[in-house]
Amino acid sequence: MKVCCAVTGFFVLCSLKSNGQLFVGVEGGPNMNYLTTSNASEPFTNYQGMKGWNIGIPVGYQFFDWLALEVAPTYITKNYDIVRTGFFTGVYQKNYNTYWQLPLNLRFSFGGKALRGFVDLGGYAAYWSSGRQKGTEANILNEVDTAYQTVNPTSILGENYGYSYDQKYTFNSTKDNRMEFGLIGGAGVSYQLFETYTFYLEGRYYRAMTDQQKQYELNQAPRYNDNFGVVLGCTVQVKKIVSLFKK
Amino acid sequence: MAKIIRLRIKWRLYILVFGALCSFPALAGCRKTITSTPNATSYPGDNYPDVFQSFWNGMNTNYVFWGIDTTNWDNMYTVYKPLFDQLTVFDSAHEAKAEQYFQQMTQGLIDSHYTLNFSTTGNSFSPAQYRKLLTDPNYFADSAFPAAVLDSLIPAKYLDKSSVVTGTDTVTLEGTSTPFTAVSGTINGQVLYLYFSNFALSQAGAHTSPVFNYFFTMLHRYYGSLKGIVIDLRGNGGGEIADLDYLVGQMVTSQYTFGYTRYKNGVNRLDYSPWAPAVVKPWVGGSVNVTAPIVVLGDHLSVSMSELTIMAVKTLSNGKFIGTRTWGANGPLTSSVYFDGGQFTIGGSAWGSSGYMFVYTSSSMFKYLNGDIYEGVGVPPDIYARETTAAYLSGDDLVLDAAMRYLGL
Repeated sequence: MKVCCAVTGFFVLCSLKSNGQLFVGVEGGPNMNYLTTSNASEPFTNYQGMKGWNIGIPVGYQFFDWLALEVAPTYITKNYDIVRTGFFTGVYQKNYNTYWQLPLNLRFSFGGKALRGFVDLGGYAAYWSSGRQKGTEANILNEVDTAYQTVNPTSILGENYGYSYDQKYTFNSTKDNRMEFGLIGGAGVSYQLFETYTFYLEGRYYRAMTDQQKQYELNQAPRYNDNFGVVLGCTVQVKKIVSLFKK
Repeated sequence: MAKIIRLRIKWRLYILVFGALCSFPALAGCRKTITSTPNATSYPGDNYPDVFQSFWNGMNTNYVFWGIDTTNWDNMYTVYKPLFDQLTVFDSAHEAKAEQYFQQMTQGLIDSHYTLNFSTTGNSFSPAQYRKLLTDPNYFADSAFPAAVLDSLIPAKYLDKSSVVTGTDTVTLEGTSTPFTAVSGTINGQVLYLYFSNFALSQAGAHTSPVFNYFFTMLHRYYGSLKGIVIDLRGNGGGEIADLDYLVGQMVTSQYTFGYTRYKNGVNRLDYSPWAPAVVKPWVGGSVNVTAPIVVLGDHLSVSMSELTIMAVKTLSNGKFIGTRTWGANGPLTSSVYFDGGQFTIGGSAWGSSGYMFVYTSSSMFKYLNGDIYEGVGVPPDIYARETTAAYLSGDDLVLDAAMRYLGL
């Protein structure tokens, strides 16, 4: 039903403005991802944000000079870090996760003819395609010889040698929810050049509304991605490109 | 004209503001509530419903075998929460009920270290022991080992008289004073034999130190000419992990992997760390490269570190495990402060200084080198041999006999 409404809405908007413009481009930039969850029962443990990046191909339709609909198939990383502190310093796990993401948003723009401001609002669907884990953990069956050498350890890695790993994450079909849906909010400025190219710089927030895990237990602590990014992009009007080829 | 333009700009601004207003509540809401589940030990827990909640959550967070344990823990919540809610008063009748419920909830758990210790009554419950006795009421009674075999059979019949060194000390394991017995000697001057009752070699005192000194001196001096080494871990209840390198690490000159461990690294049941290799390292105080067969003897009462040592030995190309399937508690266990997961206490000070209940459980899951997890099922022997009362009465140790046959004696 929602899809039908969206499609109907799209064609209604198209019919409102016969001189609308189809545009296509490329965009990308760095991001900072945070995992929002509960770890109150894990002492000396912090979940920290990690840098990542994303690249996408925006395709859109400019209904009016102030309104466009945009979809941008995107390859995006949503990383986070689990860091132990205090006696456990040195134990950490960096989680590198990549997603294929399909955002769909409305772009409301305002301002002059060339230099304009805009606000993006929409939603996205994403598929968690792969993961990698890099870290160090204390290895219980690789002890530092404290019993016979009377060493007085000052950290967990003084009790047990650390095991360092950098490996592909193996998905667990019971646990991992590989589909993610969320909302998009963004704001930025654009500059139109030669009435053909539009360059833009945007601050964008992807807020996951679905848990990174399937619901597999009662009272489960959910995990959500919060991704803040800066996007630099350029779009070109398809009509202009076509006319260039015709010439 | 200017008025029309102004109106259009205004209209667009209204849409923008409306859109933003509509979307921000959506951005803020819709997610599931992230409740701040406290550590199991942090619940006030001064009544039965609280104690139940604390225990149930503590198990979610700390129990390391959810990945392979088939117990339906959600169902336990559904069934037992209403029952605990009915326990409104603390008295002996309600306490008996509560303990019964806790036992019913946990009786299927595969962790064979797992023990519930009720502080207020001093009662305890081991699901593994419960299941073993259910299937075999004589599980503990029909083994003649260790006391009788050790006292009167092995030193008298098998060990060379002049070589026998024995001793008993008292050591502390898990905060409890425990008798610690060790025996060493040679068999036919060709095989070096060692028995000890627990892995507490670093605590060896005046009576047991000579036993280990003898064994390791003989090992380092004659390893090249020995026909075999027998390490007898029958009836050995386990103990300190450090003894793995101290014992097995003195018989190898290079580090090797014999399995893998992993821990909990999150609050949900399936939050696990990657598998880390379980290794034996040459002991820092010195080691020799033993090429002669190393036979480890184990039985149904070989537990925990005994089982890990058995697997460490059987991984060696010259290692062999002779005996019966072990107890099945091989998830390494250490103080709860070191790892996410493992043992925990529930119930606040209202129940006394030790809380209401101490849950003794593994800190990590162990997987043998071949990928098998023997938790709850025990390590299978390479060569099956079992001592019987009848054999003992006729002066035979059938397991040691099997080892001698394997060594060609």
